[in-house]
Amino acid sequence: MKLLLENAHIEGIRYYEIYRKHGGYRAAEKALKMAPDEIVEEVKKSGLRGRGGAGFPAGMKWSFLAKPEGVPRHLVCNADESEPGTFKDRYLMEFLPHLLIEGLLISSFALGSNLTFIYIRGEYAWIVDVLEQAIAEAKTNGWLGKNIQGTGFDCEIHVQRGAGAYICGEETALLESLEGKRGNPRIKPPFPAVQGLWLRPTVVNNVETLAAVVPIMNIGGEAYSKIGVGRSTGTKLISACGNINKPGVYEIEMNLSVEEFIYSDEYCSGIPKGKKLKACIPGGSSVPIVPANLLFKTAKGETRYMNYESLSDGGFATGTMMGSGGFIVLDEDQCVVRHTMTLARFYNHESCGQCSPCREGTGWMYKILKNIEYGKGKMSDIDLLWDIQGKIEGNTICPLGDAAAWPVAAAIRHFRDEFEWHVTHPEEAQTRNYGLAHYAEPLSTVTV
Amino acid sequence: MKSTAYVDGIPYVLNEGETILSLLKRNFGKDAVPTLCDAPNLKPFGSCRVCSVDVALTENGPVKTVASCHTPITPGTYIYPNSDRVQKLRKNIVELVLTDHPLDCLTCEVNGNCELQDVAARVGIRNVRYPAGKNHGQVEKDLSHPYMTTDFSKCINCFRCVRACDEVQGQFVLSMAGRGFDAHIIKGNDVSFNDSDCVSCGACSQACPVAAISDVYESKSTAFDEKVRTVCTYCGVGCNLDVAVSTGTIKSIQAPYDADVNQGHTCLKGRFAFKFYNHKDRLRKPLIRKGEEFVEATWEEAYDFIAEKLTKIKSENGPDFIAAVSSARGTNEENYLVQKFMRAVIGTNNVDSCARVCHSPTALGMQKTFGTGAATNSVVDLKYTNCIMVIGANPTSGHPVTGAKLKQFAISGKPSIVIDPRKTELARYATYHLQLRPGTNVALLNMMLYYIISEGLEAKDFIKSRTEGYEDFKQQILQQNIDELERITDVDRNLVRKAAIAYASANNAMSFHGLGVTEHSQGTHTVMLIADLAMITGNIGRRGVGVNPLRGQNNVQGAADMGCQPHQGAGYLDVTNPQYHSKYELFYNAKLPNYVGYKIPQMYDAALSGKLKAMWVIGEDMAQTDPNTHHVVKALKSLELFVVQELFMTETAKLAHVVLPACSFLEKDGTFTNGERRIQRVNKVVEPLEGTKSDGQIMVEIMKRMGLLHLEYHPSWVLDEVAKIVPFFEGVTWEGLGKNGKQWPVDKNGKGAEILHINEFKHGKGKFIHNNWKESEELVQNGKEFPYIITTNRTLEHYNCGAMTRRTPNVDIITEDVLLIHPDDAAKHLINNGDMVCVTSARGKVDVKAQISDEVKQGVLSSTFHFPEIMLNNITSSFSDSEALCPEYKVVAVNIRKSKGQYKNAVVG
Repeated sequence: MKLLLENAHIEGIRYYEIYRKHGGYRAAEKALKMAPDEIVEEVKKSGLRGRGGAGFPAGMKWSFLAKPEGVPRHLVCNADESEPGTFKDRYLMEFLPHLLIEGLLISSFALGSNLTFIYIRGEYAWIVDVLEQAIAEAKTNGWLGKNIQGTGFDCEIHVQRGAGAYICGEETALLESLEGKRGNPRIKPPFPAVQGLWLRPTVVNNVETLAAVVPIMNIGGEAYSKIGVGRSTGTKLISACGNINKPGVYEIEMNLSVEEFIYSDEYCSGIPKGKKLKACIPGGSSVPIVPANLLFKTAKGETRYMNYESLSDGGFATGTMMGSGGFIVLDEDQCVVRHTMTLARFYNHESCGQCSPCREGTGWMYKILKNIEYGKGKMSDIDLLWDIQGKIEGNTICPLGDAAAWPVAAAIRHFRDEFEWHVTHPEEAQTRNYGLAHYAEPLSTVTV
Repeated sequence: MKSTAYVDGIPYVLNEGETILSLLKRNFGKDAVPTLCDAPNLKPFGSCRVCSVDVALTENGPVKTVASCHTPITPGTYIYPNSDRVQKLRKNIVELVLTDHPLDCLTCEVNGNCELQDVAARVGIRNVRYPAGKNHGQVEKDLSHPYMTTDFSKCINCFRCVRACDEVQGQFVLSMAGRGFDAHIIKGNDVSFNDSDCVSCGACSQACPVAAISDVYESKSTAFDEKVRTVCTYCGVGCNLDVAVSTGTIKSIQAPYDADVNQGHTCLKGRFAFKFYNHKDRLRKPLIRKGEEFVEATWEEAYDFIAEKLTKIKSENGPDFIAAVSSARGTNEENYLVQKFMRAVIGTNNVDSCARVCHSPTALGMQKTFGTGAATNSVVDLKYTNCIMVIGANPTSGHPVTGAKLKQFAISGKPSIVIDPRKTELARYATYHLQLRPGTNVALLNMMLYYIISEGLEAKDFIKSRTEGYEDFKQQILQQNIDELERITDVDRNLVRKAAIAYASANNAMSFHGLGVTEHSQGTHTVMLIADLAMITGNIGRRGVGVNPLRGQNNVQGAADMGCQPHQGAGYLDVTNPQYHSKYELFYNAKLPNYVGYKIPQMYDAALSGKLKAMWVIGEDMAQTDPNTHHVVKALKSLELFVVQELFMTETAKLAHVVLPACSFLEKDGTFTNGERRIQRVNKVVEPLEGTKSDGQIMVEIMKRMGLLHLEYHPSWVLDEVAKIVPFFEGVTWEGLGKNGKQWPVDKNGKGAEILHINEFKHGKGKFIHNNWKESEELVQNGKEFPYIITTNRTLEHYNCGAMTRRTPNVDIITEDVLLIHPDDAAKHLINNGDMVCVTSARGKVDVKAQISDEVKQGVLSSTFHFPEIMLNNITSSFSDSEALCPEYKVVAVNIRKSKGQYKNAVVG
């Protein structure tokens, strides 16, 4: 079932007239007749969880919003999609801008935000135009601006481009940046719901989360909560990439098995040239890498599904995370050390430099990984690497520290032999790959 | 019941909303856990993570590691501040930090005083496991600034300097550029310290835990024999200073964090401008004039000379032919002795102090309305106020530490009103800047009062229960002609109305004022209107409100408290009141005059008309700083005996018959009373320079010479004597003042008062007193011929006549007086930036370098008188406040033309 991308293929859906013709703004019509608190209740009922990566229940986040007398509140849409491997928000904004605007309108109304922001990744320059166009159309048609649809509710949406920093996807760094400051995360508490943008109560939600409010309004929270499985309700956008035949953005119900997602024709259509699956990072670059043998089945031998609970089954020892849905597949030819080094380079470059463990630690992880990859490593480096990641994780102001530590930790945890092989075979490591880990599950059981 | 949390299993009581670190520090001392990015005067930041501790929900349960500095403590949790896990974590973090820090401790400036070094030793780092890698070791030092230095190869990115610059000073010079490993501190737009907007407050240097930011005195690491805590001699804020001394020489100054007044902050004058104290120019021997020359003399000879002359004049002409001007830079004890000498020994009330030329209208105006001529509240009240109003003051230059607090308030976006003819730094941040024409304060305040009444915003209950004279006052306000006042002040009435509403509708509103209020012909009237504003809005007698004069000199409050005024003796008792008169006579066991003596301007007039023959001036350079220099110099030259007690050969000292070499605040004990009535102990840091004596010592010795015996001078017995005669000093004792002093009134149990007039005013009910605006005589008489108005101001870097600051590296930062001129005015006279401008008034002319600026409006000029090369007071007038005779420095009618500089160095006299 598709709730978000159902109409994505319709030509011109980017424009107001076509979007409206296909049922657009019907959810807004409905919502504007409700009391704001009823909308919050509806979202709570739906069980919608934050689609940015953390998976925090959206309705609960909304209910934390402080409402002191006389202080304006803000909704900020986090469109600073920068996690390597994740491009679902870009797709959604590019093809269905009005879906986001409608979601923003409903959410702004529910939260009482008269001034709402879309903080968009700087590199998504062309999407800014798409969004601005959609906002102008929505305004012309009375869905934004003063006295929206005669309800007396005013709402303006501003699009703000980021300046190319991954850290600004972290909600408090995003707020700092939006205020015009250097994008350094803030300490919490106070949480944004109490003191956010310009110290006013603020809700920061991901693009997909806010877009999902539209189908929730359309079909009702109750019905939405029935889709999916357990606490993983509704549909999720997955951006699939890496060694697969059909990379792209897919909307899935969260009771789909990982195996089916990789091998079925409806989704990724398997691995090119019939190569074997080596590992997968299912939720964007910062979630732990999982070797093939732990990907389709959990450590307990149960089928692994594309949902929050199942992907994290087994904790970090044998599981991973749903994350932002950036699904990266690695085939047998990929070198885990090199791959980890690439990610470490990214996090080293993107660390804001505020917290000592992350500022210095990300640098050293990259340096050490580079040494190992290029045949200059020592066995003790692997332990040092393990030590550093452990000192970063949980010891920084924002989760970027964790995001930098997890990939390294998981790579060592599952592929230690490959690291050791790099140390013991410095020459060979330059010319050929280690190949499959001895425990990798080589073939799919799904009949394609 | 108070909630508790457990530290290593033992329960501790929590304070509301405190962090884990605060609990640990409170119970286990300031070294409870190691920290790097935490500093006593900065908000928690949480970036170094060295302060991490383990927290569990149950005893020995699963733990989570959190940064203790910013994590609020949850009641009932179990904290393990030094678990093995945490200790290992700290060690590893510090090890990581050390990978990008030079390990050449032995040659480092702060070796032995380095927080990183301490923390590294404490967490047990023996060696660093990481290989040599890229680091910031090659970053060049910045030695461009007269005081501030940087060596960022040592930076550990703790952000303390950035936060100090932002949170403490509010200057925003330092910031972090680059990210991750590349993150590095920059000044301004990545320029040198010297080219940046740095105000040299030194907060960053003091905050820096290593030697990345330091100063030329290496304050953090100076080797010292002892650190003496004393009080700054410059402005009325009264910052506490920790002065490091080694082998009798002052090495550096830092601001103590536990000082109630300045909480670890101070400005460049307090922190760096101390080198004057042993400058080669210091006077070291008494000098007696022989013709045109000064001849060195012994103290005995000087005393003999003075005593003989004074005795002669007293017996031939009478005691009232002698006058003294005491110094608001001296201690309370010294001021007390000066007035005692004049009253009890000479027998005259001709004693005044430099309060005359700054805040005498404040004392008078507030006495008339409230009954007490002093700040009603304390600076700490800024934490409790909702609105500030700053009138005629430029605190970011004049009172930098309070200025920084006011600036932080304005930046926070809370309503702030600045009433000033200049676009001062604070005005740029203020919600409302009422940029009035100089000399129209009374008109503007009348407008504000009009709007408060017409909008119905008066505090009716307060007015009814606490004040008198309101109905009359109201009638007079309602009769004001707003059209006329708007034209006079040149401020949009809507802006005034908005500001008035903001002030009147704030829960707590606090006003501050400075010399821009007092140094006017209607200075006292303005002060009374400010008091009226506070009363009409009920902003008196609680936290976060009141009328708070920003006193100019360090002890201008004290000089007046001690009775260095011709109409009131020690403790503000009226000398003409028979009851007080006999009280004084009894106390001093002497015959005292029961009529008012000369105020400073009257002294000049008396001297010129032959009614004054001798003057004794302590530490005041009236020839440079009093208005209408020619007049002053002529008067001083006409004296038979002119004694000057000074540190340096000032323009005034040059005119003296006897010059006595006094010593500076660093060389003496005593007390200063700051602008919030806080009596603080000044402690001798070094012995007086050879040949010099403290003012108190000199007074005791001359009194002895003239027949009044005292003990050897020590402030403690003088203070005891003061406590006996000054009612509000009743419980003050030398020992009892402690580190942070006490705010008067101090009751007999030694308890001070942060807030005055809580239940009733000093004289019962507050009095509403109204005054109409009147054009300054200066403009009436000279305005046609001299169409521009020059208003004088001060810079941050220099202090008044500059005798002290010009003898420190401050002079490398501000090298000369300049004339601020509006671009349009400059264009009209073909004046370019840096051209010499000839400024003429009815008194004379000076040549000043032009600085084109939007700080002043068209038709208004502004300049300073810090440098004797300019002698700006050649052009200022003798007009003064109608009540208190405070000179009108702020409104001078002048004309300008571009000059070639031929009138530069106009000769004095």
